[in-house]
Amino acid sequence: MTEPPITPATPRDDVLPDDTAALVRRARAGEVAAFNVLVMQHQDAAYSLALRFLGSQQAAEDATQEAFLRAYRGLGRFEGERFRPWLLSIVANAARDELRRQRRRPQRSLDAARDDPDRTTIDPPDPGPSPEATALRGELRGHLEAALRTLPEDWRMVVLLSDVHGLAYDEVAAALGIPVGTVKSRLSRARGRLRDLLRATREPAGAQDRLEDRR
Amino acid sequence: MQWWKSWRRESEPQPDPAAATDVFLSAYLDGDLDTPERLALERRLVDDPSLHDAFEGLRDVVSELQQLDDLRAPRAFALPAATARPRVLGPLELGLRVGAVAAAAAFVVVLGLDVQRGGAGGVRGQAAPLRLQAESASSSFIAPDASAAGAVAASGAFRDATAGGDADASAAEDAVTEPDMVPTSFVTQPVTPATAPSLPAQPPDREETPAATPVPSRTPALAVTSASTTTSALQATPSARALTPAATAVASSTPALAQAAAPTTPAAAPTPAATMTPGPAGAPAAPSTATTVSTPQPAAAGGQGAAGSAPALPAVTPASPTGDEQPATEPPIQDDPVTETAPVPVAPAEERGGGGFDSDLAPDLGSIKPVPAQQPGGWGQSVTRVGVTRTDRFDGFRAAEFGLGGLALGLGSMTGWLWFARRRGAAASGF
Repeated sequence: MTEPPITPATPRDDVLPDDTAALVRRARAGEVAAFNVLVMQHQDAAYSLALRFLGSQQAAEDATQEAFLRAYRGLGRFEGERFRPWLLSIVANAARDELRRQRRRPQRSLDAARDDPDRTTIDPPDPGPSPEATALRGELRGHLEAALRTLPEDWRMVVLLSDVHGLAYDEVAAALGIPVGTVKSRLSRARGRLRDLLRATREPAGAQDRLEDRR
Repeated sequence: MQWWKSWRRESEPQPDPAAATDVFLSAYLDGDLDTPERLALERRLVDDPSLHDAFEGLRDVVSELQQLDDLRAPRAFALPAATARPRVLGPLELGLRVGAVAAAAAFVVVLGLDVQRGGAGGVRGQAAPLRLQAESASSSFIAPDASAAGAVAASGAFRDATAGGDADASAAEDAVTEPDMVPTSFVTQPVTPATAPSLPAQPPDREETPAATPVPSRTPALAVTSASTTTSALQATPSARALTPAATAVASSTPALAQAAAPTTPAAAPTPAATMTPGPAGAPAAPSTATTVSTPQPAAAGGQGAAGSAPALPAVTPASPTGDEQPATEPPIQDDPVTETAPVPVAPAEERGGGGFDSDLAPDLGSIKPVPAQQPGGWGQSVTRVGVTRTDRFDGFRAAEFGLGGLALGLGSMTGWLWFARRRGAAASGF
């Protein structure tokens, strides 16, 4: 069985750097429409990072909105050429602030069932053409998402930024304000933890398969 | 610093060997190992199946993580166009800010004026006793009424420091009655034995009292005595002679208690004539306590007392326009207790710009118009109550200071609260 290709909800860097730079310049000049183009291009990534880190849809929305507002206000400080890592660093900090705010004032949302941290799956995007592939993919993602949620927050954010969103070590370090060595150590430990967790979830399935093969 | 050292700090006290292995495996996956480390690890991966299994598991995890696609945002996070508009202060916030700044500025101005007038802190506290003395002296003064030729005695001449002391001279200067600050109420008070036991009764009519000469500018000062519990009251004795123009000079209403005055001044037969010398037009209305300073007069023919001797203190009755005696019919003033007695030096009238006494300049009492004794105002100005001139301590300046300070504080607090609430609201709503 061939695995269907992954179709991301939003292309990660479908905007040419020149276009992004032009949009940034226009947004700096006060053109909100130009900034909103950037928002529409990166809002799925930002929301995904916030949701996977926070685990709550409402909190993720709040953090994402706050991050875009901060990004708009801080466009004058943007000097790099890569807009996406810069934006994700803002999202990461907004998500961490949101998490701290939730800890100071814990509250249950009305849709507590949806925000239940014990819930093992996060609403996946449109999976793809094949139902079987969708099921397998959804199951694997579900396990991975659940394993991600068990990680410590510091490790989780590093894994999300580095492995999920593809930021380099130095970019992750700059976004989180930690040394690069700390990023590497947290990343390796988080990967090892995820590996153990996924193995633990696959073992029953593998044992069931071996039992059926013997029959 | 090697990055694994920081990892070692973050790790548990007893680091897991498997975790240490994962560090190298993870670095190998990311291509972060240098060549010797990479070659050494590759040899171990070939030789050690468990290490290879761990590496495979780690690679699968990283692969799965990298294949996680973005989740679809439930809504658009586009910013509204209003976000880009320059923030315009609302009328409420603008008003609060302007009001707070204005109140603070006014507070500073009023405070500065108060300090400049000596109304702050130690200056006020230092001048207070002397002011009270002056008040007591003023309260003992008797004036017929406003029409009675001013009805106020104010020597206007500087009393030498021999009576009051140099130290008190400057402080008491503001307690000296300015011509336009004298009380006009007519009050008589009996002399209490406790305060002037040796004072003989002043004849009600002293026609032979010589016309008072203008007080020399360097007349030694006389002490103004006030009783400790009762105001040293002087009985005003109206005298027809006192209404003469020559009598406009001085109202000697004080017992010559200050011995310092005796050597230079003959027996102080206080001239009952009380006359106010109107200040010149340009005379500054010093915000000081109106005070009547008694001045001993030379002994008149037939007057009481002898030169050089302790002057007797008669009951002084102010001159009456009609020449009739004005008996002390009104109740004594219940003034605040004054416990101290000290001479009050008076600055020379010329120096103070208030003019001096000149009989020639005051030929007719009718031409002398009483000067309003009361002027509402701030700290340091006189307040006459039943003929008693005193100073209000909690006056307009202090009230303004408290009011403006409180207003500035309140408006500032409201402005800060508004700013904080809007920031919180913007953070909560995302805008």
